[in-house]
Amino acid sequence: MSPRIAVVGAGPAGLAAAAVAARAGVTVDLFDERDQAGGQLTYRVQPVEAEFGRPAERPFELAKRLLAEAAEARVLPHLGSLVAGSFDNGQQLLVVENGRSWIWDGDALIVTSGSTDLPYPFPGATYPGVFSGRGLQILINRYRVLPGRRFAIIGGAEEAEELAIDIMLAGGEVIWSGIAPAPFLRAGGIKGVDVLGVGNEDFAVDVIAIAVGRQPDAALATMVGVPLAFAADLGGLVPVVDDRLEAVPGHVFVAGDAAGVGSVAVAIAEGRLAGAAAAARLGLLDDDALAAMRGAHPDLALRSARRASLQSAFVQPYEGPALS
Amino acid sequence: MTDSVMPEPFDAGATLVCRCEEIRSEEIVAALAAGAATVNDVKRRTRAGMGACQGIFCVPVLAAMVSQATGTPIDRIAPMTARPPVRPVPLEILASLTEPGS
Amino acid sequence: MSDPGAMRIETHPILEPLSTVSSVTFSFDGLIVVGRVDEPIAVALLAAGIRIFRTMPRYGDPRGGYCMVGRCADCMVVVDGVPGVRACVTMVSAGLDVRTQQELGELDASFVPDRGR
Repeated sequence: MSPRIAVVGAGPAGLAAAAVAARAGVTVDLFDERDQAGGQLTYRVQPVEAEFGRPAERPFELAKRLLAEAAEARVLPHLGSLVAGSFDNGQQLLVVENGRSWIWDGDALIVTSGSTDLPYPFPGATYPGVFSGRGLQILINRYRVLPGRRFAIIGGAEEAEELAIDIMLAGGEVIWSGIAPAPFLRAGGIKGVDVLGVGNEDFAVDVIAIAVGRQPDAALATMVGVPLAFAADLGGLVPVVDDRLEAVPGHVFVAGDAAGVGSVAVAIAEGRLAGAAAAARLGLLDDDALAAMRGAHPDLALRSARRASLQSAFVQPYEGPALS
Repeated sequence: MTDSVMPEPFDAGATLVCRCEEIRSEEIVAALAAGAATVNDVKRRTRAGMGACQGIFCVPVLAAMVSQATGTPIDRIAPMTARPPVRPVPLEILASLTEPGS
Repeated sequence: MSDPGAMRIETHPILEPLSTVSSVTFSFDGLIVVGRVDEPIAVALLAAGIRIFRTMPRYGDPRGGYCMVGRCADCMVVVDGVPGVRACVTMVSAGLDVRTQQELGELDASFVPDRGR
């Protein structure tokens, strides 16, 4: 009876973690609330780097490759399955799928649940026609709908730049793009966005995207006592994991955007490391293989050092017994 | 690493900070003036963070506002407590919880 | 209703041409909307230039899609009499009766969908 782990989130980090652990002989249940695996790779179109120093690939092609690796390693997929809660050091999960709920039981949990958009409230930010950056990217690239012709993007960094190009590739026009303090912004219109006001100027737009950046989504790790610490350059509150991405020794690991917002290449490298670390803890992988994974990307050590340097860490007390 | 823009503290009257529960900036400000000193305090007094998104789209703003109101550096602001379920789930689905391993 | 000029992206410099799939017809507040099979209700509505999906309970503000991943509450609509349905993660199907959710909406347990199209 081989040891069993759950990997939650089938994006680049999760697919990589699942494949490595499964190849080592662990039984791996890979969960994703979406019906399709691939995470951010299913809605980004511009080329991304998958491995440090290698040529960039189309996200769609990369997703196919990672999926094939996971399938070949006999990872057990649970798509359209939401992991709604984690308990008992990650050894129990509450799963909701197809209108029913069940409890997953196993030895360890790898949290690769990615990141979500950061909020940026301003007058009119909730008006119809205002989307989160990722939401608009999904609408345009995954579902192939332009919700309007004239766009404004609030945000000045990578996400905003990528989105601007995505909009133009799709045939839309970017009327204004940038960042301004919230009191200087206002969105308005009749039955939906018609205008974005920035300072004294008004711009006629149909769609506004709030693309100021991303934050880790590590709630499932927090619930089982993984400490969080604040680092703006990692997207805000990040789980404090050690240099093998382990939080609760032997039981809970976090990798990819959920452990600090970064690139696809970093997500894949961290995913592989977490999968290897989990397998090593279960006695199925030796330390040499693990050491090789740590050096796969220069950012791994940088991120590890950054997390180790964070002073204040918060741990949420776990109240209550295991589920059963 | 990322160059995300962290939200700034926000005091602009009727503008919504928590979009799920429709909590205005002025209500957060009032809660802080009345003595709320943590994100959890603000959540308990105003319902901000209790809605469908479970704080994803407001907690970073609440944290910035608590930081400014209490003079505490942002990295010393305790996060909101995360509780299952991570998304809204109809009670009838949880009531039908089947046995482990099935 | 103001027209944002929404459109479907048939051809794209990087993506494959939009595949031909069956179309699905449903109604939104009595208006006929055509969607593609396996697409979320919210996508079909946005493609048709419909941007208001609900009004909020506290202040009555209109909302449409925001996060597109089922995390926020902005896209909730009433489907076949059942409120609180997130349009961005619920797929279209033939004959659905979709309506703007007014505030919290009310469950209409006696609702019988008219699928005769």
